[in-house]
Amino acid sequence: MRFKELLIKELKQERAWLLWGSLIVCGYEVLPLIKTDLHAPYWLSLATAPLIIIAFAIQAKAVNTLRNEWNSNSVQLLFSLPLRGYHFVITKFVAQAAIVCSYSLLSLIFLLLICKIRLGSTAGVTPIEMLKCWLLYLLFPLPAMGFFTFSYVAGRCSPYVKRLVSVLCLFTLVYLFVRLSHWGYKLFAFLPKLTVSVITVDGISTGSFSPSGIAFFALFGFVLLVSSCFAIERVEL
Amino acid sequence: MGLLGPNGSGKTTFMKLVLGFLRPQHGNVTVFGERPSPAIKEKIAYVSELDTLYPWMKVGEIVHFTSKFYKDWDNSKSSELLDFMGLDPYKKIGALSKGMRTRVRIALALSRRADLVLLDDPFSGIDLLSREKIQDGLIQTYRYKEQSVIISTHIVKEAEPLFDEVAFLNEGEIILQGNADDLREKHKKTITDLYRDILR
Repeated sequence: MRFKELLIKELKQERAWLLWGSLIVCGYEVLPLIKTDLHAPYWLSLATAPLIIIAFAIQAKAVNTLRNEWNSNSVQLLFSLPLRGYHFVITKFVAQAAIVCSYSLLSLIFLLLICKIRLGSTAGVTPIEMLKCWLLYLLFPLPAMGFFTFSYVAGRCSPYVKRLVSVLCLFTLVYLFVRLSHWGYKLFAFLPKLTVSVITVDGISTGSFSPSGIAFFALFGFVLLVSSCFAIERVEL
Repeated sequence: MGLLGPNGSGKTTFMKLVLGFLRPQHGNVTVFGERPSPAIKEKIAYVSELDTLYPWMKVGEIVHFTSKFYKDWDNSKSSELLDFMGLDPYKKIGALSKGMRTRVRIALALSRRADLVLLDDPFSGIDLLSREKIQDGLIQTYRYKEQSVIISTHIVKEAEPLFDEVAFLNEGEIILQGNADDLREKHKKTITDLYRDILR
């Protein structure tokens, strides 16, 4: 019940981003359709650009959402409620995840539509393939949010130079992830290879890859998100 | 109870310690025999000295939002308080004056049947009318012998009639504490004059 109420509040807070952001994504994706003088490599890059931008921009957005709670003092209202750390962290995460999911899904739908119109076919990419691509894509921005959230919370736990602590923490986490990745690949080596179809200017290109790296990244991000739930309870106001 | 002291005397720190917003550097804090925790917050209603409300929410929305987190929330009391404080549930918090926003925060705290109400400097920086409304609201909703209300303030003169007990704080220490009537009688002074003498 409490989780639901907090989540509704977070989604309401983000409704402008959800609505206007989605409209902007749609508006942008229409560009490759209107600009008929563009060659295939250009319109394809133009159409896929939002997916890359969103993955990075959402990290800044997630940190900014947390920072705004402190800047507007509303964090005192939230912390005075009888809630646990995971209520705050998970609801914020879900709200940001909703933004990434809606933007990226819209982008992918448009990409498929653009291909159908510009190439005359979807080059064999089925909706199921697209859904698979979407889920794989989400395995980058969502776990990455764990890195940024934990770094921000760690900075808040520090009594001094909060920003510096956050930045140092983020670099340390990335370094740790890189150092541990060999071990991570081995840990998930049992996962079967994935086959993914990618739309290129020449049509469809199918390839396979080992998902162990992505799985380890997701696990690392998840652990950091869970750690943030505990760490946020150590923050002093 | 009145927690009286100049700026920086430790009034807000005391309240933050009770709520668990801060951890003590020495010793322990216990509230109702327990360490501050999320469970304890169910028994405490807190009004911060800061503007903590979301400006994008409507008054009715923040009331609805807050009500969902407390078992002791009293809907009829909440409606009465909104009426009494002259608050329009359809008005956006961002469009309200500082005094009206303070009224909203006070109404949120008093709409509950909390065992302990902590009001951190509720009269600071707001107009006389709002201060009077808040005082009247406090008197109307106070449940004698059932709940404790701790008000921290440095505007002693207007708040004096509200206090049964007072504690004078300076530089993080309680320098005088006791029943307000006893202190008046013993020192032959009002609490306001005592405040002036002690903290001068």
